Amino acid sequence: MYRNKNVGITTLLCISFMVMLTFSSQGNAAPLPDQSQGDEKMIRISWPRDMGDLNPHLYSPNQMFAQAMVYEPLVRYGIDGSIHPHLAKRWDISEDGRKFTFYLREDVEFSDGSPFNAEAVKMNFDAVLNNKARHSWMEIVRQIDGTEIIDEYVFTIVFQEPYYPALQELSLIRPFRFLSPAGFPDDGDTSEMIKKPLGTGPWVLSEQMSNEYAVFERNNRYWGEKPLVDKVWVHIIPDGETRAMAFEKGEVDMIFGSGLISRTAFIRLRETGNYETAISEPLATRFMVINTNRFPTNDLNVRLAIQHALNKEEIIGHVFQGLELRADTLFAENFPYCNLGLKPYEYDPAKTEELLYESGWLMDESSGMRQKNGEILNTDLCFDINNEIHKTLAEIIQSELRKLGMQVNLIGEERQSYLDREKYGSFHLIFNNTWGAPYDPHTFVSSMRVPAHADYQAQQGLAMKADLDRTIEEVLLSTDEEIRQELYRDILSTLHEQAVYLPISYETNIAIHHKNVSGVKFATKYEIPLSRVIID
Amino acid sequence: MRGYLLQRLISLPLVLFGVSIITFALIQLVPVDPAEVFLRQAQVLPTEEAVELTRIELGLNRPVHQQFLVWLGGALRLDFGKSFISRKPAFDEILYYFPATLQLTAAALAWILVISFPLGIFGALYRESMFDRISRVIAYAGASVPNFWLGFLCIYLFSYRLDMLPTMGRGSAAHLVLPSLTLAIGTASVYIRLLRASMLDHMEKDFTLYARARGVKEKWIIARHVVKNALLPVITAVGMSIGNLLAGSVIVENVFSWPGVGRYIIEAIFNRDYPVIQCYVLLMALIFLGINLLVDITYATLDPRIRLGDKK
Amino acid sequence: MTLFQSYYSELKQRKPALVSMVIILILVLSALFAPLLAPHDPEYIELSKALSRPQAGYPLGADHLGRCVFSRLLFGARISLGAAALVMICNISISIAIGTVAGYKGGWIDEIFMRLGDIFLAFPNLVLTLVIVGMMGPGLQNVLIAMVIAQWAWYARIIRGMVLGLRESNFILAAKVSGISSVKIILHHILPNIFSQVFILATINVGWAILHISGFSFLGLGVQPPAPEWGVMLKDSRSYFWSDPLLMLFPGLAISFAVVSFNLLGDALKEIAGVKGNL
Repeated sequence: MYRNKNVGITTLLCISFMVMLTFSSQGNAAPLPDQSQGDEKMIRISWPRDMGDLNPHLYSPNQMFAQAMVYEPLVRYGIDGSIHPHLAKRWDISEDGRKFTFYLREDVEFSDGSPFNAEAVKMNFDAVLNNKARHSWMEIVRQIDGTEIIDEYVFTIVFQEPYYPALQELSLIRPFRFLSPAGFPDDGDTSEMIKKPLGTGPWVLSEQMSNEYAVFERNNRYWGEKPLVDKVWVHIIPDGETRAMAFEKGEVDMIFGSGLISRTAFIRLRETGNYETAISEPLATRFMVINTNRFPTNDLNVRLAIQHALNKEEIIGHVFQGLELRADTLFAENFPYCNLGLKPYEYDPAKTEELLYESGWLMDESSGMRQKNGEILNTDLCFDINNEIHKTLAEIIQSELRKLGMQVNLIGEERQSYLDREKYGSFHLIFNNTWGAPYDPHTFVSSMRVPAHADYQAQQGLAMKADLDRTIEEVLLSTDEEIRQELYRDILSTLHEQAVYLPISYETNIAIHHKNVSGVKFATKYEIPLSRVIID
Repeated sequence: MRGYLLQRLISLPLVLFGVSIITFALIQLVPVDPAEVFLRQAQVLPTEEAVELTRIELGLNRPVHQQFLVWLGGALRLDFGKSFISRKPAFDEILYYFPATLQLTAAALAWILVISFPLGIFGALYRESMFDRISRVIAYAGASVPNFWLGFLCIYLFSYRLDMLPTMGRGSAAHLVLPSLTLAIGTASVYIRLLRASMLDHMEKDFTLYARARGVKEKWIIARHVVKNALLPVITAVGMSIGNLLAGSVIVENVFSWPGVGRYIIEAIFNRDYPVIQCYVLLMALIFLGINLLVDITYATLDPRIRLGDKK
Repeated sequence: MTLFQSYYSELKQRKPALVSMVIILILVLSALFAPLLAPHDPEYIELSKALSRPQAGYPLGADHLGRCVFSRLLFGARISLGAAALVMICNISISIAIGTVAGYKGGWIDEIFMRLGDIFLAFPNLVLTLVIVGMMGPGLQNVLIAMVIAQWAWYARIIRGMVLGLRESNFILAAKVSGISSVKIILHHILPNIFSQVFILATINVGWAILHISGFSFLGLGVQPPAPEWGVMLKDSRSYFWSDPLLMLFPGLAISFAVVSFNLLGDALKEIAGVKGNL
């Protein structure tokens, strides 16, 4: 009987241990936020990834919208491309265009109470410039010659050459935004970590559980218009379908962004009529790069043939269901210097056949594929396997091109390998996006000269690549508006005529929220403007 | 059995050493240069120089055996290097997400017992009855349905249609119900079958027949002899399955957005966060080994045949 | 072939096993003759047919890209079943080689293989597979390789156990005494005798392999698009669950049916063979 007792006791012990475990870990899990306890107003949104530690001077895993909630720039980018004062109330540019003097607002404090002044600005610039390698993709970091404190609220930046997009790049969400001196690590080096995410922005990060949630509270010291709700609760939900369901069940008040829920989910929710929905203006361009440096897409005819082979209207209508509109040029015409009236490539299968025939690609009836010298017209289309839109587009494009005798191999890989292909140019076709305001067009064009970018690799086969790079260099340093416009025309029309890019659609943000939420507006691709949002 | 246990304890250091070699060797399977991945995750352009510097920083320029010794030395101090993504120690990162996974596993174990014991025991007692048939169907179905599919069906039915439970995330006990149940079903099904078979086996055993012959009440026979003896192998098997449950949580955590190690490791895999992956696999192996050893010891102390030095 | 005949006559008595055998047969045949049976090319996209309900020409409807679901299921059977079978074949052949040699020879060879096996068995199986795929990168091929690396030790151990049981039996001892070489003994006496047990072992675990392969596809680590694998089809159809729940139903049912059939058949065979213990 001894052993039987033992078995019983062990079983009981096991069970009670498990029950204890099950409920004990409850302690560290937060209770789910219910709407507005007492007078406190809270809006609950959802995001697929953790916020990171909100270092204003670094990139991923920090999420841009969250960085933008906590930190602010010297100057702000307007929707029309104009630059507005923000933490700097005004600025002067010297005659030679090399020296920028910023006059800072005097009524700004960091959320911990430390003053915002030229000293704090200098400290942040030093931290960023100390980590040049990491920011080298931005021309401005290379161009800055020195920074100086002139007065408590006056700060200057001197550039090596007159660099026209400086103000645009200073308005970016990262890295030129300002961390409170109290948030710096003791050695002042922010390239690894920061002590605490303290900024001047309208929101303060008050609580964070990695991969579960983050809570932002209103910054009561904020110098501008204070947010209308007290709290923002960001629920981390990696999966789009789950997010849509959580929204429908009222566990989330608003979904805002791009690709957060599937298009079908958005349309289904919209059709119920129970929610408010909105779609933003075009924010950036989705496109496919066609490699000019590899056979067979090194032939202009083949590239043109691909341009004419796709019925973009039908594909986009199907994939985006009206949430994104067809794009015909690399940058939308409402972007600065981009209103060029370039002639779109129309869907014209007959033209495709003609172009391919001209280049000697003849249809082989037995295989249904075009061949030249016994070789099949074969291309690799590379994409990020975890990007649902990439995947769908890739499958459609493969099937469409096959109908015209072009074989497409789909190479869907995880992000790292996909980036490797961009870097080494080991693709014929690859998806990419422009970066939207305020990066487009200058920062994007500038990056075409950097070997690690798909654009650089894809343009390598162009006879005029060296000229193109020189023109890009010139455009960034040009001081004359008219010349700048002409140079942009030169660059963008060359790329268009050479059919290096196959623009697909203009990316948009979507917003969907319950009817008790109001005041939702769109900004750039990267921000969620929550300050003016109200919840009843 | 004593001898067997002793042998296992003696070979343990060897196994641990082998485990660490395999864990370390995993990085050799990587088709790209880890130094380059590191740079890219830090958003630095991987120029030749930068890659070379990083290789030195990460110690990748040394001969493999030296790399291994350095790595092993670190691992003994629970230092697996820093995550490429968060730049925090990989061990701390795993530890941070571990309680959530442990909670899920514990709840799943509870489900397994709650489901498999009654179904298995009564299925055997009322053999070929309706109950037995239904429980066997459940057992087969449960073991055959892909759990990501089942999870989604559960969400659809219980949280979306019936609005009984939350759809995702962690928080109250209600959040735990669906993920743990989904995780439990597969293993529970196996134990329903195992327990039923074990029960039937013991019901035919000599001591049962003997007790029956002595005129001991049937209820007593079942309770005292059959059930308790039949439970023994099942309990040990359940113990062994803890390791597999911990691992199996990967899919369930991804379906239910459960913030545990499983979800984190998938993210790490997609980000090629090698230090985290290595730390994870080594820790899992250690836990698995530890539990199995514990189960063996428990088994040895519980079962008198073994305790008395019966041959294995 | 008397072996199969005796199994078959026993199987006939068991309805569930018989039904599952029929299901497996149907699945295998449809995989083999997919090109003949499928009304469409499984990768052919017809956007105008997207998400259409079952209709003439599209017996199970079309998916989000207007591809024929029925055709994709048929061709999917090729990948899902084929990959599972391949994993099984690789695992079993490696394990037979190692298990028989280790079990028959014993001594230091046995010791080396078994200690090596201990090391591999120290990892939870799924963890090792997952991590190997994580290191090598996603893709069906890598998943299959990882599954073999992670599992060979387990099968090798079981097969060694079978061989160990045989080694002391009279007819092997007799063969040894009469001076027949080890290779011949293994090939002519041991292998044929463990064959049926190994076959059962494989049958039981095919279902398990199908589940794992589709699970990896679901996580995005396995089969890559546009290949019509069942796990991929499930993953793809998740977004359309609300409007078209059927899309998610069919591949899920296909996986479940395949797995349950193999499990039932395996268990029935095991029962018939009178094999006890942990197979």
